[in-house]
Amino acid sequence: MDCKQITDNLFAFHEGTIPHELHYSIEEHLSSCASCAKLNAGFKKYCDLIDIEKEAEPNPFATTRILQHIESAFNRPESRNTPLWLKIMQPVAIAFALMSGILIGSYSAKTRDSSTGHVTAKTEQIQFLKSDFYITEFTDEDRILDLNN
Amino acid sequence: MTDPELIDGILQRDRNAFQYLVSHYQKQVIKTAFYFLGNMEDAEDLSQEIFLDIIHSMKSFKQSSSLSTWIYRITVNKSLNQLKKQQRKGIAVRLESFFRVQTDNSKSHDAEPYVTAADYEEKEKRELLHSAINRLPENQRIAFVLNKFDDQSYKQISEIMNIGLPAVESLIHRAKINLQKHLIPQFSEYQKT
Ligand SMILES: [Zn+2]
Repeated sequence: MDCKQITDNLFAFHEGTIPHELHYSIEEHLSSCASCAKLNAGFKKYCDLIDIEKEAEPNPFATTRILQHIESAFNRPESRNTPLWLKIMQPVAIAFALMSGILIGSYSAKTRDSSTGHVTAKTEQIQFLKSDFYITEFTDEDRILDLNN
Repeated sequence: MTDPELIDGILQRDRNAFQYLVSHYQKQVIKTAFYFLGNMEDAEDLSQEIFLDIIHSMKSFKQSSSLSTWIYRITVNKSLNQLKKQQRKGIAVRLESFFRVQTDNSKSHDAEPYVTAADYEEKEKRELLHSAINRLPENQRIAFVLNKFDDQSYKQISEIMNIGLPAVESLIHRAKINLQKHLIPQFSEYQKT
């Protein structure tokens, strides 16, 4: 057994999910290789830390706080009950207003001065607005896991 | 209260149903959020938003999975989004504290007077562990955290993530290999000292 096999199997070794023979040869290597033994001891601390975190318990008052939060959300006059179409239309309307402003601006500039460089700059500005203001509105709400099941 | 009764109650905005939902699922939600965020206070704060989200999105719950599985999905989504927000904020905070340390060195030493060496070492280790976990690709991270911290079986993870069992197995295997790669360099530092 070489040191590489130790580093490849650290997790499995600590979980006890490797075949008996491999487990035995790892133990044997650890008793004769000081640097692997040190590595193994250090790695064990991380495995122990996972076990400690698993046992962490929430604050006993958490339930009350959550219920208070729900209660206050439902008692708020214009709470999160905003209709979905309004939630979607608001940023769309803002983006539309912004983009039409820029388009009108660039169009009037173009009619006054027809140099192409000027128009290109405006197009870049639109792209910038689209990417930084408008699109990021939605990235926060990104669904990592599909909830429609 | 059965799942359909609970769902119905929540759709009717019944306070008893809210109470049952929270008392029944708060531990699951907070602990899962904690495993992703690595901080119990943050997890408890986020759980308030998670429960509101559960109540507000109940209309869209198609019931093709169990309620518990669906709640897991919402919790994981919310926790990972929260982590992204914190990471974005973290860059700003780190910059701010960098300048604060530069201008006021004495105050920052007084900030944590009762931290023992052992506390500090454990805190440092927890931060290293979580930063190594956070470096994993998102799907590996979800599968690993649900399995190693939350004790979810491969079958439960496959339902939560909506993927096949072999995919779960492979994600967890790759997560462990990657974590070993991220964590081992920490020990080579130890070995030098
Ligand atoms: Zn060795």
